[in-house]
Amino acid sequence: MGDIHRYDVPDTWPTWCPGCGNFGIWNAMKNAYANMDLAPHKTAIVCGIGCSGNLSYWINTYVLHSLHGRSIPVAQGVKLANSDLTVIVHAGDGDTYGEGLGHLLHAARRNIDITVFVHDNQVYGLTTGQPSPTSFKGTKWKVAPEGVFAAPVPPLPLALIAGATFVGRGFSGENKHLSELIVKAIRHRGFSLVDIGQPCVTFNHVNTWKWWNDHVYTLDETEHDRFDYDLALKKAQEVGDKIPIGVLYEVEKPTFDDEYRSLNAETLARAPIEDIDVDKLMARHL
Amino acid sequence: MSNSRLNWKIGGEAGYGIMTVGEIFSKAFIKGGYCVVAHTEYPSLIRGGHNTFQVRIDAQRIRAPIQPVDILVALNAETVELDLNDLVPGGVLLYDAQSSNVAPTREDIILCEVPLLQLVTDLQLPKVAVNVAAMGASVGLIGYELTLLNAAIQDAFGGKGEKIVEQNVSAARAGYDYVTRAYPEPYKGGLAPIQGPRRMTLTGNDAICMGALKAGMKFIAIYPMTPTHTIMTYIASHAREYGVAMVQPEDEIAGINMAVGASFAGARSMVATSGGGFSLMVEGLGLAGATENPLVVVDGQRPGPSTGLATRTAQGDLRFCLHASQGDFFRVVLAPGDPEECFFETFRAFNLADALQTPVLVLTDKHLATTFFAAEPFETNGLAIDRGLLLAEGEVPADFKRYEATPTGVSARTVPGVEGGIFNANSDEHDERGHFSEDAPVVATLVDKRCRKYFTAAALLDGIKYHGNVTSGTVLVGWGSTKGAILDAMDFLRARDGVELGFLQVLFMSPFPSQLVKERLEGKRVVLIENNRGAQLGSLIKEHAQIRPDHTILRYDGRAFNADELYERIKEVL
Repeated sequence: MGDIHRYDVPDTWPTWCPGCGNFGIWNAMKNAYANMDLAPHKTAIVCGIGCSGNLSYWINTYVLHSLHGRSIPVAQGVKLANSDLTVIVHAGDGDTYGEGLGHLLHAARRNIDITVFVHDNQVYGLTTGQPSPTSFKGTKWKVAPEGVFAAPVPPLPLALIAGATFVGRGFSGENKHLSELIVKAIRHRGFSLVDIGQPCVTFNHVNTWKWWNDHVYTLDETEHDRFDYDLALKKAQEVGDKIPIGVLYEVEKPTFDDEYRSLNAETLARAPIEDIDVDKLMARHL
Repeated sequence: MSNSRLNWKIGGEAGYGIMTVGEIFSKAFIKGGYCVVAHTEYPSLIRGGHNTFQVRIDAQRIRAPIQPVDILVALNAETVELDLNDLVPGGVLLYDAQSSNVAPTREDIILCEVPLLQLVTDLQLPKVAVNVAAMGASVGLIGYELTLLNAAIQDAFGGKGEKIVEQNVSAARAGYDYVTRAYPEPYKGGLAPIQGPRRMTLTGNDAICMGALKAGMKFIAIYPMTPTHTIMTYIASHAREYGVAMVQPEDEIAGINMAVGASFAGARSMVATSGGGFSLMVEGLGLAGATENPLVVVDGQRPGPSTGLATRTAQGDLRFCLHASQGDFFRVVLAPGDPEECFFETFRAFNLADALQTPVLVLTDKHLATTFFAAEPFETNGLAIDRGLLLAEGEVPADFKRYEATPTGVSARTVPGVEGGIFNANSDEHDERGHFSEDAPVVATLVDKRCRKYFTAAALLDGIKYHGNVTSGTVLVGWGSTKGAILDAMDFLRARDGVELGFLQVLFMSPFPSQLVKERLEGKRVVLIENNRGAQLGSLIKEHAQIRPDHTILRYDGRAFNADELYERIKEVL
């Protein structure tokens, strides 16, 4: 167990609303990093834009606070350039399941070794409370006074079908469980998606702390076979009265970055680039 | 009497190897000491469209296409119908009268009937081989060396095995033999190999790839889009050899964001696209600007807006590239005008991106990107890598501020993995450490920092090239791919009219070389030449140098200027 304070940014404190679910994720994340003794300088976190992405200000690793919806492509570029890095994405549900849903599916099919944590509060918080892609159908909002007409995006089944090799769900209120889940997801080699249920105490009056506490249950590892794809797909769709948290699915497969690494002897970011010979290329045109 | 120049054109249905012909035929003459410009015109179709390749061959230095053509090779009836008027009076139509069932309507031309289909059928080769038979027939008609065509065939098909090479050589031989028997007198006395410099046959895209590989580009993301898709082909076939990761992303948005990530991690990174794809990249470009990540972006322009003319040429993206993205940051925008500049300026683009820690945009267009030119091998001695203020392990100062507001606007940079160099590459406005800030003085300080790079860059770069007569009262002004047609038109003016003009080529549009442009144009009669409707460079000159062009020569029908057409249009305004 490393020192959890290694990951603190001195003289700062998060500006999330008191009671925000992001605090739980932030703590679980730092605990997990300390647990793994992650070297801050060998860790690259890519954040999206939203309350979740603001986490970039309060974590002492290399960070790229990117664009809304584009953190997954950015993270893939980081990983391909230097696969020695631990590359982690923190983004929101609007980020990942709205603006950037295509990127999620393509990253999953590539099975690139990055870990994506989605802070899923089912609402757009920074813009003061619009429904998000995961808001439940029928829920009412200022901008949807008749209720949301569309069904929510099912992120975990989509990721499974697209080829993600690690799929899990956590809850910011189950801090120890979440911290352990984060460790497992990061340790997994391949594309990992962890959807983290997180109340927005200010704007989401449907999915409250009480609501979450009433609905989540922890998957029993002795009963749930996380290597069973069909079972995982079934469990991933369980978002009704009961919502399972834990590792839903895990499988080992070759990763995208391994395929590229086999092409290149050196880590791209460190490969020497002085005096590269292009005479042989020119000769082919003579 | 022997000839020293020839203009040859081949046309046929898409899918019958017209594209392959362009490179092979060009190379056959470049190997024989000639200079060549070979451009293609084709519709945005894979099968059934009308494709042409026009190859201008000259013992003198040439850089652009001209009209009319001396020899038209028609692989189908449509070519006869559409392109017959391109032939010079007394020119030759080489066609397959047996299979094409077409009656040429001109009487001032020579008909050279070659049963191309029969020849390849007799050799038991597929119909697609008629293009190679037609090249052999053309070499016979021109009185050129068949061995040089065979050598170019070997280069093109060598990778596919000896059998394929032999088949193509036999098709070329059949066309050659038929024509030299049936038409023993070569066209205009023949075109023999000459003593010329050893030159490469290559496109602007090829040169860009070589420049990028020479510069140590390690990451490239390209979503296929004409006319930069051939960059994908080139890099993919050398990726292992040069240790490059080439990713085909799900879209251009992913592509540029991946490249920003790879650059953040320390790899020299690039994206290449055309206007439509670049439109999608704009937010990512701003991300690179805000986080001060080096990045090279190639925009191979084609006519727009929207889908426009997918396979044609234009210079309509200049203003777009200068201004793309919300907010204030400095980017370099440059436009090479020929393969040499594609190579050297792409190499320099990576150095500038690192030295200035900002995106560098390289503008080409379909004409420059896909036309085959002859170029002497690039002198690479003296090309040095400059990674700017990139700190290695152990070089990071104790009180490291990634975005320190230095006088140059450029601050020391670390990459993940370097101990002590942790920072937030923050797309939010930030302070010198990368921490989010909305403090008014801090914001203004950091905006100023980014924008100061304009002056730092301006001090590094000339930004113009001046060609021709420095005392000329009339100065032509252009940028990018029109360089070739302008220089060739100046050659015509000198040879035919004894007029020696000057030509100001603007190479960098950002930072704009205001002072140098002003010095060269003040008091002169300025003739602006652009391949767009809006005279975009002209508006920049007005903005930065307060000089208004006296004449504008614009073309915006999706085609590049021909040198002879430009010569006439310049003469009109002289």
